[in-house]
Parts: sequence; C-alpha cells; structure tokens
Amino acid sequence: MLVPEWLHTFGKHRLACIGLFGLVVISFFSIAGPFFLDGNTQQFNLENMLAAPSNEYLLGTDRLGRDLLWQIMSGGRISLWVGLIATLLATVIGCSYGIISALMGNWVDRILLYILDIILAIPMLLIVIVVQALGESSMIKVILVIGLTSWANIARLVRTESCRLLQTTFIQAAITIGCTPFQIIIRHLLPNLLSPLIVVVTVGVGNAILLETTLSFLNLGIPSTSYPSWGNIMSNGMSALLSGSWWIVVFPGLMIVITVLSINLIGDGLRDIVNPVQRESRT
Amino acid sequence: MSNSILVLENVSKSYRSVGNWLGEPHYVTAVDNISLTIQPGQIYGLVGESGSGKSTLARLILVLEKPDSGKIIINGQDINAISGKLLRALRSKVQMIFQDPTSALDPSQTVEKAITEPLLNFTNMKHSARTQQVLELLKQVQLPERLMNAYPHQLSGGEKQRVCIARALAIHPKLIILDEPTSALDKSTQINILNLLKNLQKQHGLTYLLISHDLAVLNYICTHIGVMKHGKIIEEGYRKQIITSCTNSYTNQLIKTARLLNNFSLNIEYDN
Amino acid sequence: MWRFILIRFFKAFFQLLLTSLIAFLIVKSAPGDPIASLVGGREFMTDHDYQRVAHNLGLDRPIALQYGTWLVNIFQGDWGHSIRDGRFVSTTILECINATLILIGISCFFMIGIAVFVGCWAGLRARTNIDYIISSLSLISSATPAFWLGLLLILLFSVSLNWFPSSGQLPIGSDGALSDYLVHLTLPVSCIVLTHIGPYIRLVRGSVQDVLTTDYYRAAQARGLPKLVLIKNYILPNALTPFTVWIGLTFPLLVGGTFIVEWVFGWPGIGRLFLQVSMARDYPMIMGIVIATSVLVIIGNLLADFLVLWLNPRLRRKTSSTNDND
Repeated sequence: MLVPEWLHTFGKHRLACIGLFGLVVISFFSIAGPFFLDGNTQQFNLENMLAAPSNEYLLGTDRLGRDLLWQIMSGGRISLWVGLIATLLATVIGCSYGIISALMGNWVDRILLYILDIILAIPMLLIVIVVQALGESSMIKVILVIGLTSWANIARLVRTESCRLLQTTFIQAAITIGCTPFQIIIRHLLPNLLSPLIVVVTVGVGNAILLETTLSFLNLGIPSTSYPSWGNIMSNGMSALLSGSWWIVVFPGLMIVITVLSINLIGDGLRDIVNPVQRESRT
Repeated sequence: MSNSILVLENVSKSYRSVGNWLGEPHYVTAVDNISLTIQPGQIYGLVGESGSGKSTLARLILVLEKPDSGKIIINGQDINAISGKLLRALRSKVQMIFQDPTSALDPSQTVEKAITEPLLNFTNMKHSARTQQVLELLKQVQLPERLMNAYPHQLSGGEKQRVCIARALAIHPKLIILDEPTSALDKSTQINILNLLKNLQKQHGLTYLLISHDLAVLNYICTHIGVMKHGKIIEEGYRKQIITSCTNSYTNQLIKTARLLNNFSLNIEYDN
Repeated sequence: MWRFILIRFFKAFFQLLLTSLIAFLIVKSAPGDPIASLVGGREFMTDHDYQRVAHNLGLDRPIALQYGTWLVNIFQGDWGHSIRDGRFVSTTILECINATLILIGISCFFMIGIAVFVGCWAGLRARTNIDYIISSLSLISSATPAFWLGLLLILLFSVSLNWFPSSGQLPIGSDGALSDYLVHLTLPVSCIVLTHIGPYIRLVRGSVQDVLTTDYYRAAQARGLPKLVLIKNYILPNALTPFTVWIGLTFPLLVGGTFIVEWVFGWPGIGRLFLQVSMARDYPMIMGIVIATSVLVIIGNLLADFLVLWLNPRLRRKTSSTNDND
C-alpha cells in the first residue's frame, strides 16, 4: 500500500498539516481535557448561574452553574465519536452497495443505480428529523440514523470507481493468473478503492458531526440528560441568549467550526495527495 | 492434431453496438468464423489493422469472453465446456502479456507482490521459496533485484513489461498470448523486449501467439504468420512464405507499407 | 433527447413514490397507538369502540392497502387533517410554502450570483492573496452549522446592534409590508447563503482553473482576444455545466438547511411548520410536508437536469446514445 509515500507527501501539504494539527489538539482537548480540570466544576452550582467568562470559569457557566469549559470538553468527545462511528457505518454500507452493484453488472447494477439516484434526491434531513422526533432518542439511535442516511454518496463513489477498476487491464490480468472473484476484491479492488474512499470518508465525518450537532440543537439528537454534546449545550443556552449570555452559544459553535474545518482540510489535502499518485500511475 | 496446443474451430463473436433512438441494436462482427491451429514451439504472429478482431480473439482464448459459436480447444480441452476449478487450472497453461504494461499492473502492488500472486494461486510454496522464485524470475527477465519493492509508477515502460513477462512465466505456462507487447514502448526498448521474448521461448520451449499490427515485429520473431481482416484470417503460412510470396493483395499492401515505414527491406534471413 | 426527458420524468415519479413510501413506513412504525391517542389513552375505550374506530379509520386493513388508499387520497388532493388542531393539511402547507419558496428562491439567486462571480475571480487570480482569502472563507463556510451562524447573526445584528429584526414579520400584502418583509429577509438569506456557498465557490474556481489550462483556451488567448470575451465565451460556459449539475445534486441539502434557518429565525415557512409538527408528532402534517418537500426537491432537480441539457449541446445529442449504451 501507498501509506509511507502518502505520509511523506502529506507532510509537505501545509493546509493538511494545519488540519491534522487542529484535529489532534481538539481530540486531545476533548478526551484528555476533563482530567486536568477541577472535579467540582462539573457540579451544579446555583450561585454561579450564567456567569460570564472569567478567571475562575474560563468560558463562563451555563444555566445550572456548570463550567462551560468542562461541558465543551466532554461534549467534544461525544460529537467526535458519533461522527466517526456513524461514518464508519455509512462507509461499510456504502462500500458493500457500491461493490455489489459494480460486480453484478447488467440489470442488477442498473436497478441499484436507479435506486441510488432516487435516494440521493431525497432530502435526508427531513427523514432524519421525522425518525428522531418519533420515539425516544439515544446516542445509539442518533448514530444509527446518521449512518443509515448518509451512505448514498459513498455508495455512488465506490460504484463508479469499482466499475472503472473492473474495466482495467490489471483486473483482467488478475483473472488470467487465476484469481477468484473474492481474491480480486480483496487483493485488487479494495486497495485501489482506498485512496478515493479515504477522501469522501473524511469529509463524511465532518458532515456527520454537523448533522449530529444540528439534531442535538433541535433537541432531536443526543438527549441533554444523558451526555453533553456541542449541539445540546447550545440548545440549552438558547433561552439565555436573549438575556445576553452569548458564551454558551458562541464557544461550542466555534469548536464545531474548528473541528469540521480541520477535518475538511485533511480531506482536501488527501484529495490533492491521492490524485497525483493515481494520475501518475494511470497514464 | 491431438498434440496441438491451441485449436480454434469456426469461432465467431459479435458485439451489440450503439443503436438508434428506439434502442434497436445492430451488431458488429469482431471475429468471423475463424479456424486456427498452433503447434507447440511455434511463434504464431497475427497481423491486421486495428479493429480487425485480433484482440477479441485473444480475449476469447483467455476466456475473458465467451464466443457466440465455435470451439476453442487448449491442450485438448474445450475451454467453454469447463468452469470453476478446472477452468482455473487451465488458466495456468495460458498466460497473456498485455499491450499496455502500465494498466496491466495493479498500481497498489509492489513488483514482488505482483509476481508472487500467480504463485499463490497455483502453487503451495512456502514464503521463502516464493521469494527465491521471484528473484529467479527477475533474473530471467533481466531486472535488478532492488526493484522487488518498487511500485509500478516508479518503473519505466520496459521495466513494467518485463515484470509482466516474469509474472506470466511464474507458473510455467505452455502458451503465452502477446497482445501488441511492444507497441506502448519506444523503439530501443522494443528490440530488447523482443530479444528477451525470443530467448525465453527457446529456454522454456514456449509457444507464442503474437498479435500485432506491425509486420516488422512479427517478421523479427515469428515462425508462422496469419493475416486478419474484418474478423477473418485471409492468409496464413510460414513467415518466409508470407513475406516473400504472398498471394493476397491486402497482405502485399501490408508488406509494402511496412517496408516503406521501416525504411529498410524486411529481412527474411532472421534465424528462428 | 425526448427519450431522455421521458426517462427523467419517470425517474421523478419513482422518486416521489419512494419518498412517500419511506415516510409512510416510518410514521407507521412509530411507537404509540394512534387510535388510543385520539381519546387520550387506551383505558378510555371499550374493545368494541376500539375496533369500530380502527375500522372507520381503515387501520385494520393490510398495510399495503392502507398505503394505496393514502396515496390515492394524496393524488386526489385529500391530504387529511392535522390531528393537533384539525386544520386541513393541504391548505396549511399551501399557506406556508410561499414563504419557503421566497426564502429559497432569493437565497439561490444570491448564492449563484455570488458563487459564479467570486469563484471566477478566485480562479483567475489563483495563488494570489485574494484567492487564498476567498478559498479559506469558503472552507470555513462549509464547516459552519447554519443554526449557529443564525444565532450569531441574531446576537450581533438583532440583540446588540438592533439593525435587523430576528423574527415576527408582517404577512405579505398588508400596508407597508414589502419593506418590512425585505428587512426580515436579510438575516435568514445571509445565513443560508453564507453557510451553503462554500462548495459552490470552490467548484467554480476549480472549473475556471481547468479551463485555463486547456489548449483551446491558450489558443484563444494567443489570438489576442480581450479578457472579457475570453471570460464570457470560454470560461463561463465551461464552468457553468458542472456548477448546474452540482446545484441539482445538492438541492436537497439546501432545502434541509433552509428548514433549520426558518426554525432559528421563526420564518413562517414549511420548515418551521415541519419542525413544530414533528415535535408534536402530528402524523398527517408530517407526511404532507414530506411529500410537499419532495415535490419541491424533485422539481428543483428536474429543472437543474434540463438546464444542463440546454447548456450543453454535446449532451443534447449524446444522451440518447449513452442511454442505450450503459
């Protein structure tokens, strides 16, 4: 695989490095951050309701007097995990769909492609909102719903790429040296799908995080009674917004922007890195 | 006939082409009722203009496609009558060198992996034995050992074609089909590859079916030549016989053009 | 070409059918007993009453039949009543959809205009500071959640500066309503445009750069054509096709984004209505809005597809043959 070569080129891509740096900082901040904070700050503290950012509370406190910094840190953990796992789910579904469609060919491929086209034209946000509004919400449900509604893009890419790869001479060469269809998928199809796939998956994580925070903001995502997430922190802060407590809404949002921006920068960098390798080896 | 390595009997293949707006297809015949026999040790050259069905014939022999009618017999076995394990076993007898070595190699595989792959499929050698075999094959196709861990895009065209040849040789095939093996390479590399192919053929007692549009290439290496036009073989015979005393006007024209383009007379004195 | 248009219409029809089926199944599989909820709980009904109500509502029939009946009703214009306040679903949606269409239409207009202009500008000045600034801003744009930017805009322009109202506009048609309407439109439209424009700018910039490296553009440049002619005749037409395709593809996302923005700004469109009825689990309304939105999205997609056909004469001739071929 091309990984060592990639790493080398990745290092030269300035924006991608900035993105990676941002993501590493945010992950560290979210995962390890809470351990560095004083344990008391996560408790309800009704004397410090809606305190503005100060030396004691760097980012201020929320309606119940909890430290916003601590909430944002633990919220980050949830948002990152949800984005990652939901996208992994979508990738598995999308890959299987795309590869099956490309391998079966003929009328199966036509029908699957047709269905895919139809699915891509459905405003998924509506479906997600309906599903989330009916019945109780939980973290698992959010992950499932996001994963099950965002695989179509990946499936389309995988199908297009697989079709192109299956036409290539090296797949035919693999048949002539006696590979079984399964061996062709494992040894030739998947390694060559990896590079275009990694780009969409990266961007997919960013989109999943945006979707999760939007849902949680609408109180349709991760319930604020279970875990804090960047979305439901803001949702809780909405009522205090008009009275001037801007920090509860501004800081979690900034975190979302920085996180998704970092992820998109990495995706962009990967796209630039992956494409020349492909072009070089194709011509 | 029984020890012929490849026998084609009245093989035909046509393709559905783009139809009109109602979607009525019309058909283009790529291979039209071809019969052909190749004996062990022959280097059979098939020449013809592009679109004359040469490559389709190669794909049919490799069972990458099925013929519409006719029989293809390799080593006494009708290849379209078998499937599954038997077909896979037969694949080790026939190997192919493709026109464009760049697209014939998986860009994500190193040279070592590419050459090991047929060994993995057809033998149960141990890891060390396989590596040994790969080194031996690299030596045979005159590639340095250090290229073992190189990726295709780090190699030159000639080097890539040598990797393909090594890969085909790995499982000791009887028949190798060469589809324009040198047309994607520059002139000096062409000669080297052709010489290599010639030597390997002698060393291993191989049989070649060489497909090309370049009569000069065929004349350099073949023992027999067949001329294809519009999906049919219009003339075939010994190389000398075709080059010196062909009867067909089309063949004559091909020879003339080849002489003009190469700016020297086709030398019939090559020693086969 | 006619074949292509016919196939396209068929596809639109199937899209609608599939969306309605998904919506129907989701609502059907929702927890809770719709009959019991009519009277406030199962314990208030006898078994006999329960079966009678189920029979009258058609809920005792097989699910495929229920879907069929519902679909036929939809086509006949009978979209049912809201179970919350008894309003007709169809008239409520019609009242609200105007506001949404105005919001989407104006946002699209600004977005396309700005994206083409700014994208071209950045593409023509690739690797200058202006390009870097535009590219970074468009990257940030696609990383910003629409609802958050909406809150920021409200915080800044409504709460702190008090320049624009955050919600509560007069209905169109009343006295002096137009200026009021426009003032109310400013923040939601800015929010939609700012959070969705990023990918479009990047796309235009990319296609402009692609054209700049082609041989025919270099030949035109070498012939000494003035810059404006080059842009008008060579760069824009080539940048527009992928742009239109992309708009068609991302139209569902835009509609979704608009819904959220409507919610944040209290814009009386179907987006806000949808979120309200979703949270209230008002099933007939939910289904009605899903269908209405799908129609909207599918019409948008159709328009984009036909626009691509019209923009690209090569495709016009090729479509019939490619359809046979694939």
